[in-house]
Amino acid sequence: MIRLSRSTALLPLAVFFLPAWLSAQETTALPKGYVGSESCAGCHDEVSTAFEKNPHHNLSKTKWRGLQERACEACHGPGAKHAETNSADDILNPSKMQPAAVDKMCLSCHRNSKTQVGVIQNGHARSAVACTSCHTVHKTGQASSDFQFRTAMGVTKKCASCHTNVWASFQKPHRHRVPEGAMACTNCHNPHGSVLARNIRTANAAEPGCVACHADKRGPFVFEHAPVRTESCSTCHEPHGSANPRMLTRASVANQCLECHSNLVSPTAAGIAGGVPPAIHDMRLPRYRNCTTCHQKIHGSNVHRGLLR
Amino acid sequence: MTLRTIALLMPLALFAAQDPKPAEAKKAEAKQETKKEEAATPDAEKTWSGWVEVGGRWRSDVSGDMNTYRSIVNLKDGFRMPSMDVSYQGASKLLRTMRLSAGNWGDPFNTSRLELSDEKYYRYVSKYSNMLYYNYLPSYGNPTAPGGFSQRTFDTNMRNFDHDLTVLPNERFTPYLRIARNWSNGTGITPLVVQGNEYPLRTNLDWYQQDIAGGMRMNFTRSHVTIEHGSTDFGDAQSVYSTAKMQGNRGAVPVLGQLLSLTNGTQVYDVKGSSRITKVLFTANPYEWVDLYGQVLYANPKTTANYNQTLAGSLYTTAPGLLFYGSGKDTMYGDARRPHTTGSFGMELRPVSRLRIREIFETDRIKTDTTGALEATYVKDTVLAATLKSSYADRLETSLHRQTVEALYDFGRKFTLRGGYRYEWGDALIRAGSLSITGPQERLELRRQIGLAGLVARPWSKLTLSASAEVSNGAKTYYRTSLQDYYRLKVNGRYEIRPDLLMTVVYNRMENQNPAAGVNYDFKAQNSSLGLQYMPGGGKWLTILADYTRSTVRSDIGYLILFPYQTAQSLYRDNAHTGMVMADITLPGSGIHKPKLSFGGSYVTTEGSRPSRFYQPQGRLSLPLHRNVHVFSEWRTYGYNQPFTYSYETFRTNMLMTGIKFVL
Repeated sequence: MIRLSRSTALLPLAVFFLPAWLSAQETTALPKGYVGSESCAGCHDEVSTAFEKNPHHNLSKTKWRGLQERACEACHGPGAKHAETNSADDILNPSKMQPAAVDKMCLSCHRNSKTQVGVIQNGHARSAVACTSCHTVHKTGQASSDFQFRTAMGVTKKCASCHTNVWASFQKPHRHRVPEGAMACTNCHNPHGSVLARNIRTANAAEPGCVACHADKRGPFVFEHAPVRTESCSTCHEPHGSANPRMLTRASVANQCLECHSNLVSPTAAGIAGGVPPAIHDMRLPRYRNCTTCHQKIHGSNVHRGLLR
Repeated sequence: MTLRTIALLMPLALFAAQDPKPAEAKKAEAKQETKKEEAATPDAEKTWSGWVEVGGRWRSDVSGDMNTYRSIVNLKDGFRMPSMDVSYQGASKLLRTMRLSAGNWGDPFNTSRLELSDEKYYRYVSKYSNMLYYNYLPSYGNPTAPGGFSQRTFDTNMRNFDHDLTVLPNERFTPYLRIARNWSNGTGITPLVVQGNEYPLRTNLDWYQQDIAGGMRMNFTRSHVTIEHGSTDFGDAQSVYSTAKMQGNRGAVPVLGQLLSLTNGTQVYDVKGSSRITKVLFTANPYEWVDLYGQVLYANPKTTANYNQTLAGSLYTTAPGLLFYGSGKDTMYGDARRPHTTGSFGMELRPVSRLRIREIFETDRIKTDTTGALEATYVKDTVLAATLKSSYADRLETSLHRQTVEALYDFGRKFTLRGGYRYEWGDALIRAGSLSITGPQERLELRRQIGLAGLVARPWSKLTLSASAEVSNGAKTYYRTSLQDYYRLKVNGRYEIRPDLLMTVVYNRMENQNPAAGVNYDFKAQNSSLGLQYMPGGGKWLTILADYTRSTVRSDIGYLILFPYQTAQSLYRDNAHTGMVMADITLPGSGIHKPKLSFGGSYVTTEGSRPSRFYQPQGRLSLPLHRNVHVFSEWRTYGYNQPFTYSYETFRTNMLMTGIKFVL
């Protein structure tokens, strides 16, 4: 039988009454300086009509933010002065604002989203790439970023427009299938920021995003290959594209392995790990120069400590 | 545990579904909705929109190596659906919008995405991708190895299915449920390794991973909390088998005067795993001058592995008292657990309007505990010669922490400078590089201090420049090739030369050195890229995108070979030139009958450790016959060669596709 403490029993009640209490805090009166969306539509009829098909139009139906009468002014700021003067200087125009100010404005609502939790670690934000660099607000239908980002190629085109060097890597023969449209950049990266370096997504909660597709590499294995856990996959693989098969960072497997496995004593005095392969490997013989022929379970083995099977 | 948690979350979702609005407000809103719907009826949009493309592809014979072609391109003849994107706008409460998109159906890499939503009630997204992974490239190893060809090949089919359902009872509480499945199966070749020899055998590959997770996003005026809980199941059932007599990689080279061979061999794996997954995410903006961010991610994967190996032939072992035996059987049981916790906490302070101070703490901890037991039996001349039993336990622990403090200051509207400091530290306990199953463990440390700097400049409206740099002095590091003393530099620039001509410049450079005796690691990588986008008249009749990228990698490191004892230098060089161009032209025509021509492609040439050329030119002509029917024809060429090294892997092929695009 499940026994609940008093505090646990009160929790559902609190959750039940919380929405009602929060609703009571809502107000709909226009604050000073605001004119309301209908006034905006008086002059900007075309934009206003298009805006009705925009996801942001939901603001006009959402009471608890208190923006339902002033959806336009949620982003463009109070419009009373602009309505009087008709001057562009008297209204906020996000396309001409500083990126940090744009981000702050967008995040005032969108911070409350699970995709934005890593935004503080995000390189885009640090390099002043504003939300509006990728996302359109007024465009509708197939011209909107919302429509385009629902396909892999739509996402990839947008990323490649700035990351031209990465897109060039994807033209190499051994790459993930991004140019074919089978994957998008966002399959591996969260452009809004992540707890992992380079905005890499996580999978299965805390695991690196690579294992979302390569589940057989996830483990845990009875015998782990330590660098798979302590370093990133990109220690041995170049995921964007490589001239080397298996997207390896070296042209031959022997060099890939021996560059680390070369310490007579492990760890060295400087604390660097990686013991030298034992003397049974006569590296003059081609048979030994393809390490993964024998050490085939290189990502981790459940059977053999030497990752042989 | 997981089901119980989800069950506990469901009432929360139901409570959340209760509309908190008073009855009058509900009625008023209902009236408003009715009015809006009435007003919207006369100019209602098209119910269905989008397109479907179908066609047939013809491919010329592949000149060169078919296996390399299949490993890199793998497109075939036949009926195809290159793309489809259909949307439905309805008035039903259950189905307000639907969008189904799909790509490359019939090809080895196909995807689809279905979205059903009603902005007031729910959003359901289902994604599917199917990728054939064929890899038959021996050149990643040494192709002169006896029997070295085709020893690690894959012909598998990897599929991912994701279902994501978000319920929208109100703006504050958003329950969601996610089910994902990733699975792969197929065949391949894997070497069966026994002491003294390796035998490339046929293998069956079959693994899957399935996630189910439910969560609740709680959205308040100045804060948000998301709690998610779920589980993962994993299974891996590989098998390797052969009944043909094989000499293996050793060939006719005897061991202690006796030739080795395998007449019958099987390896059967049965790995099962599961994991709990938990996420807690929060963001808050308690005051205008401070933002808070935090997340805790926890996974607890566990696996149990059963393994059976049966061998027969002329076999060799170093087991005590035995040298050669006729058959043997290995049975292994293993158990592994790896709790993994990741967390980050950050805040941005804005004490004055131009200054932002960011502080972030990140932590990642992994602890793997494993146990295993192996029983090996050896039969010699039909008599049980020996039974060996061993058991072992292993541990791998690692922790990584990062503390970052960074200040960003806006000098007017045109310049933003940032500077900061990051300290990274951690430790790891791993098994030492030793042949012994119960060998020693080593404790490693990581200590790294990193200086951060950056600049964003918009000196005038047509130019944006951003640069960032980090410089590190690593005191302690784990491996010879890890980051030690390094710097990174990134520069991005965008310049609007004319209203219809945009130029993008990217420059990245990284250097990493480890000067320790015997290591002498010196790594340098840089790439620079120039992109042009030309769209006269807003791209109504012509768009040209062109990029050129030059990238180089130069790596020198000393390494050691124990037999024969010698020191050597591992030198890796990769100098690549990549050019891409794509032009879209709307040709003259009357009315809707304006043909569209697209052509371009990419060309990559690399010099250095693996010189290679890869080119993919393509062209497409689309002709609208009717408002709803277009015909298209598409040509592609793929070519690949590796001069001086693996010239036998060269291939070239042309393909032509013709089809019809139906526009709804």
